[in-house]
Amino acid sequence: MSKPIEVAVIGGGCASITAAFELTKPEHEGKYSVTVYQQGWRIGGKGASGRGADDRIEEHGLHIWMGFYDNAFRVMRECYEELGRDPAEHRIATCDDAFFEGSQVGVTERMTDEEWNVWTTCFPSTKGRPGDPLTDNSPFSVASYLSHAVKLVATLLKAAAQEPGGSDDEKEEERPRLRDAAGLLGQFRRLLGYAQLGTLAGLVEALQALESVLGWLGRNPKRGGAEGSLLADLVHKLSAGIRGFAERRFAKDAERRRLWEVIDLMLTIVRGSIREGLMTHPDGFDAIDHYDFREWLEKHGASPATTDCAFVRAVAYDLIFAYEDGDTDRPSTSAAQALRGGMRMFFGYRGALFWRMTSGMGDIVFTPFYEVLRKRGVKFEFFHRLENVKLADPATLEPGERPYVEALEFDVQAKVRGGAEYEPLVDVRGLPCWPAEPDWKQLVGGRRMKEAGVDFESFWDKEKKSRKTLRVTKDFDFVVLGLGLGAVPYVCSELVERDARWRRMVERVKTVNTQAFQLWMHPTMEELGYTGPQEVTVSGFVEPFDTWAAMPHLLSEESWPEDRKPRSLAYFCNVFPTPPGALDREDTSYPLKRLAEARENAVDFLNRDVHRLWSDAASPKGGFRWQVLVEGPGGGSAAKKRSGSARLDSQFWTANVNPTDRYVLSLPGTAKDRISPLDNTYDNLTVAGDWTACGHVAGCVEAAVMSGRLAAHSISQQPPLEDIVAYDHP
Amino acid sequence: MAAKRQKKPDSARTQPNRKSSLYGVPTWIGGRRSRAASNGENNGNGEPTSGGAGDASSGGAAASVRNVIDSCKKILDDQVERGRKAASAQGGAFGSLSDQAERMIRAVSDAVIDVSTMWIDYIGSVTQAGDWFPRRDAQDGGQPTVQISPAGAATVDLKLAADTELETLRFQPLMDSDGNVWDTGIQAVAAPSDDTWFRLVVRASQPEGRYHGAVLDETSGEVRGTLSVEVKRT
Ligand SMILES: Cc1cc2nc3c(=O)[nH]c(=O)nc-3n(C[C@H](O)[C@H](O)[C@H](O)COP(=O)(O)OP(=O)(O)OC[C@H]3O[C@@H](n4cnc5c(N)ncnc54)[C@H](O)[C@@H]3O)c2cc1C
Repeated sequence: MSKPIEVAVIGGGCASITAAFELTKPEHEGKYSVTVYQQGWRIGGKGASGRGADDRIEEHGLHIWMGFYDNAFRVMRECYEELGRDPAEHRIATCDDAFFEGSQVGVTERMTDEEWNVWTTCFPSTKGRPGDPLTDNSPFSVASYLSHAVKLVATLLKAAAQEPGGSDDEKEEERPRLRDAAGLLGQFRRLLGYAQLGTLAGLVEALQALESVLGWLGRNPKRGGAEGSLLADLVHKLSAGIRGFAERRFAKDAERRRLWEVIDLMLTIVRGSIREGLMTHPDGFDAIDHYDFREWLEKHGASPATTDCAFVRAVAYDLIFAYEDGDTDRPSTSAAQALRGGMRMFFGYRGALFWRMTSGMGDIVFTPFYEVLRKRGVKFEFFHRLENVKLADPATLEPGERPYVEALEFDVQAKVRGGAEYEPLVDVRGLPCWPAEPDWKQLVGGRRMKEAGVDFESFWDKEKKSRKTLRVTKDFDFVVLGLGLGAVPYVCSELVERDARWRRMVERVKTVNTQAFQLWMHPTMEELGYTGPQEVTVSGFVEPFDTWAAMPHLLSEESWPEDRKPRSLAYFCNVFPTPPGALDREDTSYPLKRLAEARENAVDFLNRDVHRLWSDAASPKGGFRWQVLVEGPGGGSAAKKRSGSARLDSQFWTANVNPTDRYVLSLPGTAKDRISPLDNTYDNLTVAGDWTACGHVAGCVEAAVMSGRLAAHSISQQPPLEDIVAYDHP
Repeated sequence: MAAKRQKKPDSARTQPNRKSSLYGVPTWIGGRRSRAASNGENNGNGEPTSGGAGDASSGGAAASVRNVIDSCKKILDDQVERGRKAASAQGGAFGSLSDQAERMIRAVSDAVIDVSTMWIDYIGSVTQAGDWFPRRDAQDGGQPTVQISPAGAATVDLKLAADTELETLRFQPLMDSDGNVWDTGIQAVAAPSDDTWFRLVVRASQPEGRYHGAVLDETSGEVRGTLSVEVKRT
């Protein structure tokens, strides 16, 4: 067999790991030999997690997978199948054990200065599971999304008519289906015969009729005249009917407003999409990429209440950290991606809208990949921090030869004792997991580094044992560059200086810091005054922590002693201010300052705001009841001493300010600035990450996985582009 | 001697194809293995090739549908305008509603009007693409022909596309290439032996001709494909 092609994969995030997984599939028969170079002790990147004291799971931030993540679930399922864990021996053996449906979703809405309402809803289960092969009735075109939107309007109309706690007072009549001309005509006549088209059944039926009518007219050319005027009458009466209906319903019940906002939102989207010709536009939704989503909604007549409603804020902004420079006064998200993401999220999910993991993301996602890749012969070089991507000198290029990467320059951050391979996983009651810090014992000088507070993942940490340079043809043939975008200007300065497209990308595709904290608490959520669904994800709340998820299911994955067993677990997450401009790597106090700032934000938030979600979390004197927090190990006597907000020290919080960890935004007008993994300007380099032009222009696991699959395609022509689900999505 | 530098192959393209394909079937569904791609009915971009894969009748039918759309458009433009006027004449009817509520309700009713015009635009765009009959027929290969005699009804069994359940389909009345619609007489029923087949029953009185009709998804109303049958008299 000929010598394998050496692929250096930089970074171990979702994108790079997917690329490694695709390139080492058995079908390639060992054609590619892959080495993953990863700074620090663990893979996972923005999706990494680690086990801390009491085996508690410490996440980079709240992570939820959506029901439309077809690529991500597909590779994940393949991975679990190949892993072949025995269900009798492993509590998390299969992908079905690893993810469960978590469709309780909420948005919060400020009613008055003091009063916030949490609106929760459970999205219904749909057929199949994400990652199942698609059949051709899948609803992925602008037109079919719009018809879903119209249908949703009808459903919401019905919901709006529901009396609080009671049943629908508008009797829905059994309707004939619009199968044929006679049926449709009869239906029209009946609709128009209503005393007024203001009944719920009438409105819903009329919306359905509108959906079908033109198809019918198209097949009945000779009767178009008469029915055309009937149609106009219908539209006219329908308008009057909606007004009449709303007048009676909406005015007397302010809470119904939320539904009207969603109705208005859906109809605005339908209207805007028609007006902008999105159904047939060659650029699909990208045709409106230059608008901010709210701006686009306003342009197409959405009311100010709608553009500012909790639903829009939560889904199109808060959940995706869409605040430029982390400034919550500067929301900004591309209308194209908001629609693409929103439509896929709500109308394209399978199984459940949200899928939750039964353990930490590192343990659920990255351990299986690590184990499978190791079995396939992939090498992992931990503690390798890439410092420079060196391009070949243009003067040395042969005529017609494309530029290429000549060398990869690393700092080797640590060496393993005895020259052994680093073993990164720890066992948590039978489950191989990632620890929250390196296993210092395996490292040369480990104790010293631990005491010195070395942080291999910190941009500001300069710990290094040696330098290593990999050279093209000698050490590698191809490079998959899978760093977070924020790190690119620092590591790829030659690319950025020489290539205007790279420069434009790093300037315009912006990234933001994030902050997160987790609370392990003695009382149940009910005892804290929260009575809604137990495993809920709520977004759209007050800044600085607009997103909260109740994660009680993870407690049994951790190893708490009986006397300190928490009964509730809450994750909070949000964007974090991100000063523009380059970071000073010499300012080693910077990350600590920012960590303290995130802690301070958490303290303020708990003292000031959390009681609006959990009414009994406030102490009688005001402020948070800090004693609800469970102490860490050895906290016994210290716990008694720690009072007030000092108790937060026993919990977990993070300020994700390393450049690579910054969340990638989808700002208006920037989709075209991204570089594709398929780009071949540098003929031995491909990019992989949620920041690339991978089809789904959003910072999420699905985009990263799509990008990783594309990166593999650009090297090996596999998987075929048509198999990368929704790459060719409008 | 220095090892030869490896070069990545050039990709056929570096951008996604975002143009919505017709009828809501995007390019990647079914991938390489899709029926459409394998039987040459797909041009590689996921769009059915124009001209209906050699079905001579489809050009005429598409033209007649276009005429229908044009006349419908005229009628609707006129009627929708009347509707708008009438709606605005009712503008004062909001009484006790707040400004915000009023704006919202107006937006909703405007949108309803837009929704009604959307379907004209959509059907119009489909016909402009010149492919009213994309020939994703229920049966592989050529157009099925059914011979009927004056003596009685005839049947023809057609295979359903993979992953398709008969109950999820709605068959539109079939239309001949002049745009004439024949009400019933051709129905779809599950073939008793095997649920991946369905049966068309053709009345003895059915006039000769080539019939075409859309096959819709029962719930979403999306077009799943087109059924074409030729009826010949013995
Ligand atoms: C707080 C937060 C919450 C999120 N929540 C969700 C969610 O709920 N659902 C969802 O779908 N998405 C979520 N995301 C987004 C998701 O985490 C990312 O889109 C995804 O993980 C990105 O993967 P990636 O491979 O592109 O990049 P990364 O995960 O950033 O991977 C980059 C890799 O490169 C490594 N690296 C960086 N620099 C170097 C260097 N110099 N040398 C060697 N290695 C290096 C990193 O350590 C890492 O392994 C969230 C993101 C954040 C920040």
